[in-house]
Amino acid sequence: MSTAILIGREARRLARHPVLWLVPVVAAVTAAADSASDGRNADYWYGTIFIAVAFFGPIIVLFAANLVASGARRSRAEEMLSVTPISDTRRTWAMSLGIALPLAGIGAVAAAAMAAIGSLNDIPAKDLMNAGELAQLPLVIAGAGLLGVLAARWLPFAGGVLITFVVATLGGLVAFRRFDGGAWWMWWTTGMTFEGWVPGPGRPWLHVAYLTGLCACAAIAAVYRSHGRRLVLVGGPVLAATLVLGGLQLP
Amino acid sequence: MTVRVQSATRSFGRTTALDSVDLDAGEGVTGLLGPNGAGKTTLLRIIATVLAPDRGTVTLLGRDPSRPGDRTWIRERLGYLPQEAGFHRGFTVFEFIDYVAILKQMTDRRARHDEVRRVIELTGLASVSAKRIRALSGGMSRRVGLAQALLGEPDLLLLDEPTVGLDPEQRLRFREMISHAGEGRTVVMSSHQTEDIAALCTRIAVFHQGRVRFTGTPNELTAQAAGRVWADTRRSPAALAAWRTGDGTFRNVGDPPAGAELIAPSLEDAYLLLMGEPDLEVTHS
Repeated sequence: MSTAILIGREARRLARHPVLWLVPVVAAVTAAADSASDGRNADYWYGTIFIAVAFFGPIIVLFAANLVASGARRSRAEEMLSVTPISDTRRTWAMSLGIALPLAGIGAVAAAAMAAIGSLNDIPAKDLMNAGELAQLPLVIAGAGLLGVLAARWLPFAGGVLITFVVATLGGLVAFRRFDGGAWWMWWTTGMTFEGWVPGPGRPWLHVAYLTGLCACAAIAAVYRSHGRRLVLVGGPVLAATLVLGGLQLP
Repeated sequence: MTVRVQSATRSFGRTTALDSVDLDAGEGVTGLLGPNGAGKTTLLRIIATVLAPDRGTVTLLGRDPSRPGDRTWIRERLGYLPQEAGFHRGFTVFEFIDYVAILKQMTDRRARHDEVRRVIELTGLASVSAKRIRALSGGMSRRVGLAQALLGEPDLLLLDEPTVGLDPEQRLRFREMISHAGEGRTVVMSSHQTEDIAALCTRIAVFHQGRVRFTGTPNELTAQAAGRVWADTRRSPAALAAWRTGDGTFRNVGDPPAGAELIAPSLEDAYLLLMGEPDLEVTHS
């Protein structure tokens, strides 16, 4: 019961964090700056929501979630909070869920809005995302939040989240160069394409499963940071399954 | 006994912070007195279940904190104010104490809020309960730390340097709160302020370089200095410590010369003598 209340508290802390509120600000500023040559039509709003949730959103969420998750350490409240009956493991579960669930909710609302705009308006079929692709949005943004929690747990010092961001970006670029990837790819967006390779039916859902695996890996690694045995026992199979799901998407 | 520590030793790298320390604490306020780095905080952190001793045994409220189940049980009955008590500074006073109350498994919202209001009232924070913690003075922040420690009326209350950084009025108010908290429960507090210890504690343990140099009552420690404090018009070369007092005479502590004008010792005098005589180790039952 107290874990459920804690999840709510952590969600509230994230919602109130000023860094998170940069997402709508950045989205509004970039939307205002966009010349929108065809006018602010349905296609324009469809793209704007996608960019806010799948591009700006995860980067900002990574930093906001990290600041929330590292709040006790940064404010030197850790010792006082650690002698309560709720264990560190339960507190981190609550933190992870309190951050991931509302973010996934925001992603789901955005995906629903895009689906509604797509169904009600005349948007070219090539610009429309299918259900599997839309289902990736909540996982991308929740995953960025979980990565922020993970960085707070494993790199508990100032700059840890920045290192995470740089390593993830550079690592992603280096890894995906090997696979003759498409024109553009970044770890914080929904997926990638390969030149001359058309994803078959069901592939977007495979990517949904892969992103779910990544989210689970991040949460498990954060929660069992100080329980090496449990980390291996629980995290090992999940990581293996995630790697298999990732490998299946390669051409 | 609520707290029983036997032969506890704890090292950090090559530094031995605690060296085979014994301590018993029951109902009332027990004070840990000693200079900085004497081992008081390490012992309090061990009693607070933050640290485990390298050697020795600890029994708290009749349970063994090295067992996970017992540790959780103890933590349900423990209030702790660490030396460096930080807070989520974006929280208001009420929100922060409420957050700690949730961590203390107070799940019923109405009862929890009543309890939060009670400790806020008790620590004189009612007028600032809606203020953000970052806007509070050092003394007020310290009270927030005490308020969270008092949540749920813990059987064992541990306070590490609770009066440090407080002005005289705040210190007196704190003494009042701690004295009240010590009625019917066990309070262990550390301090290097002998006045606080003398005013509050029924029992004290004096630490020096990781070892307990004295255990007993404040009066027993003060009695150690009987016949070793004298007034003089000048600083005596025989004194371990001497200082000019408000009336212009010198208060000398040490081995008095023949014919010296002996005066009643204070706890501070006895403490100075104990610290100045490294071989002396006294334990009262």
